[in-house]
Amino acid sequence: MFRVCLCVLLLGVPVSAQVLQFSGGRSTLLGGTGGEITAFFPESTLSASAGFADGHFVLGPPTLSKFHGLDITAGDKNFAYSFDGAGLGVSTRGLFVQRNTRHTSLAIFVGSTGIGYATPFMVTARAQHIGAGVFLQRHFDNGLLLSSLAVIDGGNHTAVQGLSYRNHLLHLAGSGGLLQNQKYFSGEADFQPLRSLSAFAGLGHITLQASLLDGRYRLLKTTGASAGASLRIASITLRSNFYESNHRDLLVHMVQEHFHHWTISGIVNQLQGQTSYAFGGGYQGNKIGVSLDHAVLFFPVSGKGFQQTTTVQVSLRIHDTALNFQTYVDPMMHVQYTTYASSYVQGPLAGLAMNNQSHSTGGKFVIAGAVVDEHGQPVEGAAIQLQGGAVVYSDSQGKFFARVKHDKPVGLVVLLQEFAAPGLWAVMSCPANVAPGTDVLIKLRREAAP
Amino acid sequence: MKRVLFLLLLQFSFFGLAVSGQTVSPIIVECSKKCRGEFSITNNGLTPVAVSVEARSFSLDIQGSATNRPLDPTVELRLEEGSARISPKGTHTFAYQLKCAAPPCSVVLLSSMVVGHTTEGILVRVQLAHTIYACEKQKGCRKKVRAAAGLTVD
Repeated sequence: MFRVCLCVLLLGVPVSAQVLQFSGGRSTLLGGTGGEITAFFPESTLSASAGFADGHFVLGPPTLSKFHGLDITAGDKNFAYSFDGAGLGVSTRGLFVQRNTRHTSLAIFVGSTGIGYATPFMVTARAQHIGAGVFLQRHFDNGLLLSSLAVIDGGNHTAVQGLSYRNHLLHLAGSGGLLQNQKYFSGEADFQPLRSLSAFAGLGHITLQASLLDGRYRLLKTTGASAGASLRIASITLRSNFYESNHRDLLVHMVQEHFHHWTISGIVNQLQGQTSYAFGGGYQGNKIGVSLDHAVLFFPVSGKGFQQTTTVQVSLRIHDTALNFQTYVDPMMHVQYTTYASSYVQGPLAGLAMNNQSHSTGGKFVIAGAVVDEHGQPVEGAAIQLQGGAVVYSDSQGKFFARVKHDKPVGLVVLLQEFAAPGLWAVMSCPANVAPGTDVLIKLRREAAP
Repeated sequence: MKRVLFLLLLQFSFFGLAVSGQTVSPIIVECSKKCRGEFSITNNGLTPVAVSVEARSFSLDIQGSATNRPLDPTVELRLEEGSARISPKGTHTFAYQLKCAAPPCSVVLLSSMVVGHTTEGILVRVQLAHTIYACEKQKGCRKKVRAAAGLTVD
């Protein structure tokens, strides 16, 4: 009986959800393939995932979070906190409650701990041990910070307390206890603030800057200097910067052009006699983004020294679906990739969802007009479709415009089902064809609600 | 049976209306009397929104309040797009070219959208502003316009 009810409940979730998000993908870098479904409700989110991670089938149970204003998660979540040099992160499956106020952060979990797996398209955990944890942090107005972390992760026990004080000249911090069954202590005292001197000058399109630094940072003596100059000519920026710190110097030359949706850049680094370079470019539009980057990188792990690498990134947005593809070069010089897609589906409670239509317009010829009601008042949010698929909306004055590539008449249709304006409408008059340069007048009539 | 009742209660309590924020970036830009620019509208919500963009000239009073008016004839503005549909969690960039024949020019591009509407007419109308200050020289243009209006504090 319980299983039947549970099935009915789970099948009912997509029906009652206002918005559903579907994600799926594959990553050789992160070692997994899978997907996730998320149902969004007004006060909560319910998600479930499944796939293969590192060769194992993983199934994320339905995870409920942010239930009615409370930050409660029932399912998989990372429990990761750090303070004053001490920190711990564990993947959990169970009940997780979190509350943050201006001065206090409190997080509690009860359930199991194990191996977590997080990608842009799937988040799961594999339960291995019984676990529980508490994190409490309290900020005081006088600069004191009190932290406490206690975690049971199978046979590993952690109980660390920390106290720190900070003002503009002094930083004192101490923490100690048991960190994964090992005794742990950490202390830190910083005084002697960093001294710095900097100068900046702007002369039209030329910018000059220089700075000097001398002092201590976290008990380490730090000295350094930097100087740089940049020149901007129209959309092109040329920049050279010199950095010196603790007797190591770095010289960076960069040229970057940002024109409309296009970006092209080149960087040359000179560090301790070694020169490396990187260049790349890309296009970032509303529907598509593409970038290609080429660089010389140092691979000490593989023993191959400096090698040329190329990476690609492509993102597409088709209606409510986003597609992403990205390549990486790992430390062993293997090309890895991550690709995933996610899409949204609106339910009946999510408002008047707009259908999948093309909405981008372009060209040097303009078709403009106005939308008015039966009393001659402007109608905002009216959707008008041009021949070829592009949809435009009227503004608060009832006006709209669209750009077309050719100076010839195009068909015009009023899309009543796509209106962002409230209410029900009917078309009184609308020209079937319009030519660029002519003013279009569309008359509508408000219909009574059924 | 108690578990079943609890889960059913959990599900029935989900109904309602979700409204999330929309954002504009950048909010203010300064440029010379002839410039290209762009601004982005991000739909942080879970449903698509239709956005329409309107251009207005504005002037500031001594209290710093802006009064919008139709675009001055000395301002020539070419918007690449006048409206768009933005997907859930999506961002749309609107590009423009502006020529200001009599600097300084103060122009605001108002992006209007309605969220959470129904056929019965319940809606929230959101208007986000991208402000452009155009002067002979780009640097310090906003400060000059505010000073000319008698404002000294940012």
